[in-house]
Amino acid sequence: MSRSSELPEDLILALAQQRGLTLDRARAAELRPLAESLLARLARIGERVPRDLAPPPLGTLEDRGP
Amino acid sequence: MSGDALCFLGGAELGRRIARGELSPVELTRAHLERIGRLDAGLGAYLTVTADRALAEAAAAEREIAAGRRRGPLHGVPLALKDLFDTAGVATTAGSKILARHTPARDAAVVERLREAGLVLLGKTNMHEFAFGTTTDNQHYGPCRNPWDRERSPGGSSGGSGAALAAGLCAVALGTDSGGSIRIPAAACGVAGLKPTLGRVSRRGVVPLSWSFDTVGPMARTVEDLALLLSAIAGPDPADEWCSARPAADFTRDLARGARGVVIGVPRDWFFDGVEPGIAAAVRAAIAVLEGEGARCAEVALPGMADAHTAHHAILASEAAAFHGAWLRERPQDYGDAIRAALELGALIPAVDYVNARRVQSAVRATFRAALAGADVLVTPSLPQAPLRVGEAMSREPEVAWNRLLTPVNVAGFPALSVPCGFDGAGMPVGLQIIGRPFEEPLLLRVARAYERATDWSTRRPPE
Repeated sequence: MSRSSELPEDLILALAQQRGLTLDRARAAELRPLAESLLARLARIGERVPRDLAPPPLGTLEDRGP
Repeated sequence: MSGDALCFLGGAELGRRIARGELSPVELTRAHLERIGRLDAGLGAYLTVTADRALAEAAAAEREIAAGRRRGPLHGVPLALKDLFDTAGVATTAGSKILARHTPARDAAVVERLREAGLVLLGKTNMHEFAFGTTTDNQHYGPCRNPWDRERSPGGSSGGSGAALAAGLCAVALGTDSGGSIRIPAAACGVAGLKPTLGRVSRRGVVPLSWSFDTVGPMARTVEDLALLLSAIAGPDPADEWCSARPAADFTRDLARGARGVVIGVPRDWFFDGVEPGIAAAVRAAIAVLEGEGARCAEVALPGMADAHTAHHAILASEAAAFHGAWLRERPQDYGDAIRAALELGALIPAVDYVNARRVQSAVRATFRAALAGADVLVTPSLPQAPLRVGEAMSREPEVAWNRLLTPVNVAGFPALSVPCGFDGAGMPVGLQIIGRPFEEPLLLRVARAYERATDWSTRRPPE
């Protein structure tokens, strides 16, 4: 099921408050299109990413090929 | 030779003249300080100029060399550092108001190494606030301007280092690259810049932006200088767990070997999509030059680059928001408007999206490894368009972002450099990006040197 990328300003305000950020409604309105665009793209990535694909190990790249 | 002409010689050549006793490090430092005093008000390349200290270091270098204690090929050569590197006793602001009064007690690891190599610190260069952006339009200290067109950005975030090199206000410089921040200003200012393999160079004492991507690298006017600087700063550092255990190396070793027999991979998609015609033509011409030097071209596929750019944005913004969390809660008004919004956006990214972006990182690494199984290096434009106008904001949308040809390489963690390869229709410098396999910086430098030797782009100077 697709995750909705709609992000009402009230939700932005609530998320920001949870994180201790000072965000008024005007700033939330400014952030909304940026957040919706990024989260929509990330949602599409989440739907496509192969189930067996793990993140790479943290740290430097070492001798694992090519 | 005039002081102005000296300031456009490469660091290696300056080092050779100093070693032969033909050039005094003090005279050389004075020549640079004079140019900075005369020209930098119109450029904004420096945030701090350490004139007295530089002259004292130059005098010490002169004494040591005269006494037969030359430390290396760059002993006595003037250096500029992005203001992201801790410098003991010298303000390190990260281009921010938050750290405006921050004076570290200890040098960053790379600064220690450059001091051991005998370089002379001229000062700290302007940058995009906290390195979180690509223009060096610094809201707190004023914008840095491109020496080729002062209405345009020098790129960023290491824009002050790029502008200082292009204008002859330093001989060599250091930058950092988390999403193109060395390669963008190198391309926009017509100089050379190398983003090494993730982990090649210690990050101890460098203000973080994104732990997954932050990479320290050299910027210079010549490829030989990139190699000398990398030789000075690379190598293990037990204080940085992300730093590779590989021993330091002499990166000048292969410079003269030329491009004969090297297979150059040219991506058939993404890296030329939407690129301005003048830039694409310059890069195609550069590829032809490399073929003339004996390289062979092969078309390669690099699918998934739009997702790579999006994953880069998500990882970088999330990690930056984590690092800045306390300041963002306690001093939000002290951030510039754009970085504050970018950090707030990062704070809104759900954990599952961050993890999925990291999973995309695995796919991107595999894609680059596959492309580099059929080629020795990849060649692309560095930037798809002329440098932005001062004050113009960068879009982060993957199809139009001006760092979109660079961020996939940060996601992969592979090394890449940018060298000048001509000028676009607006008369602005064009950069050629050369991408290699992990820890194959010697091959990148070798190909770049072969190209540089066959052309004269790196000798062009902006108007004063």
